[in-house]
Amino acid sequence: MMILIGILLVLLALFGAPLFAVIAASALISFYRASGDWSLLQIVPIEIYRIAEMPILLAIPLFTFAGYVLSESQAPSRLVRLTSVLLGWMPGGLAIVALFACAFFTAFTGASGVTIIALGAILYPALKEAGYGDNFNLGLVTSSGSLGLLFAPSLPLILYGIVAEVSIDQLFLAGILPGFLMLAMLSGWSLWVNRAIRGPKGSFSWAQTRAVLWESRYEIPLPFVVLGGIYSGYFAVSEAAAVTALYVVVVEVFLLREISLGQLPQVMRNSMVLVGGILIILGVSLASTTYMIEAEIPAKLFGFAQEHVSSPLTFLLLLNVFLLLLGAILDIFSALVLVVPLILPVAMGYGIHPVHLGIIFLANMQLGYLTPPVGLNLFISSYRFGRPIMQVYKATFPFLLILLASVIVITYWPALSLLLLGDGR
Amino acid sequence: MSEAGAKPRGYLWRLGRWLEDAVLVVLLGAMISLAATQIVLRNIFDSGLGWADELLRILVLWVGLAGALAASRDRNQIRIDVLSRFLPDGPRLAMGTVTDLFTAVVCGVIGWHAFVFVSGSLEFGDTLLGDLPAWWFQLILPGGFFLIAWRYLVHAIEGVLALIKGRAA
Repeated sequence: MMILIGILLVLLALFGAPLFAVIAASALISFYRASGDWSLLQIVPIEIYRIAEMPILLAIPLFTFAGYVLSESQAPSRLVRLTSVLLGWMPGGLAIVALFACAFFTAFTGASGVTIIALGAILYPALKEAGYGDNFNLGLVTSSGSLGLLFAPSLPLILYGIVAEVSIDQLFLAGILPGFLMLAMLSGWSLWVNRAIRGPKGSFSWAQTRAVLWESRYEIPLPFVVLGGIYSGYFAVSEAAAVTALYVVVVEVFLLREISLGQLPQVMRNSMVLVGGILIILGVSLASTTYMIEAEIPAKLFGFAQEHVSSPLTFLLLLNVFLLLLGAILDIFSALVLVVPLILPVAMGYGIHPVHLGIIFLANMQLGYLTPPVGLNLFISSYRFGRPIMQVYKATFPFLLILLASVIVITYWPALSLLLLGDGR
Repeated sequence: MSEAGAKPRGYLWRLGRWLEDAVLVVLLGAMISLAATQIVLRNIFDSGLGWADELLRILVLWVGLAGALAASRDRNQIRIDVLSRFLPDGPRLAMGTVTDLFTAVVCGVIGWHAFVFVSGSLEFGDTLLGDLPAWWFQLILPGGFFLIAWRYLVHAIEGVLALIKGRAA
């Protein structure tokens, strides 16, 4: 009976029922079957109410809003100009510009596809003009849309910290080296593919550098304020989010006036629609997780895994395969809140550090954005650049392979994630 | 997304939309100002508003549900939806109606239980933020879920009407 209900719920989800409703339904049904008491279902809204008991959640609306403000302003084109002047003098420079600018931007906007729309629109024509091949550009821009997921203060990192009850400061540190590994591997590959394009487009000039630095004077301090504030112990993560939100409004609305006061309510609304979508899934997942823990499902999973998988290495391999499949069908936020509570205890049973697991999880999910048939970035890119989806699949495939290689390194080399934590591992 | 999205709507509908946006803007604005004030007080004056952190957490819940309600207006919730794009128009509309109805029922059930939860809180005289009645702040739970249920019920009814019209044509 339960299996039948499960299949029915999965079908509803595949046919487009909102995920929160599917998760909520499974929680309601499970609690009802366990107790047989209709009035006990009160536990579901009570669990959702726990959203009001987690101080760190404040960071989610505030960072999301700040990201939306930045992407509505001229900050994306300033960022591209800044990176082109700083990196564009190198051979293959523009490709590397694209990678770094996108990674930086995604860290602030949380990989919701905004990067492809805001930055891709500038970079795609610029790359073409510089003589790069169409498929290369398409692949680069598509895969850059979720690059930077591992850099602070990205929303998925924060959400993992909340769900796994791991220190978010530590996660921010842990993401740095794996994030740079991805950047380095993609940069290397871009240089190799375009080795025929000799002679950089621009040359380095001090006057230009001064001009773009001046132009971006308000945005450059932002990462230093956020990260510096957190690591000096001056701000908590949610306070850093508040400072960022207030700062970008002051800069983009009042100092630079790129967003008018009249536009601001619309930006606020749009960002809160995304936040609402994430928080309601988090709320109902709290209920379904409570059920699963009461039913001892993580323990059973671990028992099952131990019977069949003896070494942590094999476990990691299976985990990679599982997460890749998961990332191909579920968006990163739902995957985080639903699956992390289940696999975290199992992974810890195999001696995997919870911070390392977070980095593995997000790195795999990043690939999910690019995995056919349903990777979100593929659709956004196809739509935004007016290219057939099959061409986007093909163009993105080499980048997917490079990222896959980096995910394997990240998975089997825990020190890369844990080195900066300095806790003796 | 929504087939009915382009339809001209009445005055009341526009008022509702405006009100919903206004609520989101006020909640987010309050959240940013309160959080910023708190930082200034803590770091410069070495003090702070005792109730602010609790109120901020409640604001997150409110913004979350109000945002979810706004998302349900355009059926813009996070979903997987891989199969329906392969369906022809008629069956896709029918499936959409089924999933809308399903969502409405689920939200209705949660809304009902949230209502019971909040009435309990009223009965026991629970308080928040010092001595304010807790149910004031918890009201968003039943309110939010009932409104989302209502939205999806309307989407479902529109779907049924469109199906009937399609058959007649």
